[in-house]
Amino acid sequence: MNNASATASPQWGMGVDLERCIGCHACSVACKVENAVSLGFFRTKVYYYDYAATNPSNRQPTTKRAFLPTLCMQCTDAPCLDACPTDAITRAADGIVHIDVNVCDRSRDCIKACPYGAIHIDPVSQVADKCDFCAHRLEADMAPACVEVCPAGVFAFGDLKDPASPVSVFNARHGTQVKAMKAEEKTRPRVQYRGLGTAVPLAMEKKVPKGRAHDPLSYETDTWDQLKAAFSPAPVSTPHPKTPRKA
Amino acid sequence: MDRRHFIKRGFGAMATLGLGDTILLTHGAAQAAEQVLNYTPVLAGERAGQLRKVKNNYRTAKRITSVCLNCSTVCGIEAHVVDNKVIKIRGNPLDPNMGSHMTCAKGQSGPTINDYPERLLYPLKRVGKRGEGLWQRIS
Repeated sequence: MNNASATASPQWGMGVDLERCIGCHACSVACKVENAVSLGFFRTKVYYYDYAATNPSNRQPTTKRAFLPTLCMQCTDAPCLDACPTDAITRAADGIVHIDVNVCDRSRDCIKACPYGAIHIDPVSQVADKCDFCAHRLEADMAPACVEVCPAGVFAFGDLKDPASPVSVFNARHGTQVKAMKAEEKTRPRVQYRGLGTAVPLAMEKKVPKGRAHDPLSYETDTWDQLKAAFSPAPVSTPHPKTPRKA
Repeated sequence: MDRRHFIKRGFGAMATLGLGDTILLTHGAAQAAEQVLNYTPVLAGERAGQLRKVKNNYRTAKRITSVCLNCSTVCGIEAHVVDNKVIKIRGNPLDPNMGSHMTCAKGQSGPTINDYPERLLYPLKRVGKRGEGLWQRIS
């Protein structure tokens, strides 16, 4: 990663295929083991969202569950980088946004600035901590821990400048389906999603915290009380015409 | 011999528990024994003494192929070992049943199991009353 010229450096990017995610949390666990992320904190986290839908085979109302893996979006216009009062957050030549743990003064301004809940204060080292695309693994020519572990092939990772890299192939194949999460934030993220608005309802973006770190208790799925407004009331059961009635 | 002659306390004492020794494991003791993950202290400068995360060096880590015993599927895995300690597990693509570096979420948790504070290192027998928390090493 210490390439002298910016032109020689790869430009790391990631495509996340939400049509493929099965919500198994292997990426979260792999990340926690790789990066020593403490209990109750996340560098990457998978969200669940239950919603009312129609079963295509019998046209009956049903519920569906969508999955949304999140991580640091390595924004090109990173709000955390602008918010940091000590300039501890920098962008490397390869596009990865890093936190310098020896400069961070734990002001929490970056956490408030992040629209994706990607930054937390590490309880052991007491400095801000977030995903850096496993930069130490990239140095050893290995893919990030979440990319390597995914059993569904959700993550397409690689050099955006290399047309043969998985992320370039992913972007070329899916074209306009590839979008930024929370596009209204105008952060121009390096992590782009396919399936926002189709496999995953856009309303789910609201589940990803803005201005605070990921909440360990938000794995809780939606309750029927939260969901039932989306369904029409159950039809009142009428007796079958052939059922004998008592006089 | 009085079995309560010498009672060790808490999960931290598990490693030094001799055969026939009794250990007191009270409710909530496991939560108190916090698992210290992969950290190293800062040695010099104004932040000396603070803990910093260790970034795994995969160029020097030893790679050992094995099988994952976290469930009955027994996937082929490749373990990265530094200082005789497993730091990371991934799937072994050379295993005939694997074909990639993929593992499941449970398999990924493998490296944390060895040092897990609640891990029982020996078979224990309850020697006190129910709920009293007294256990004796029997093997």
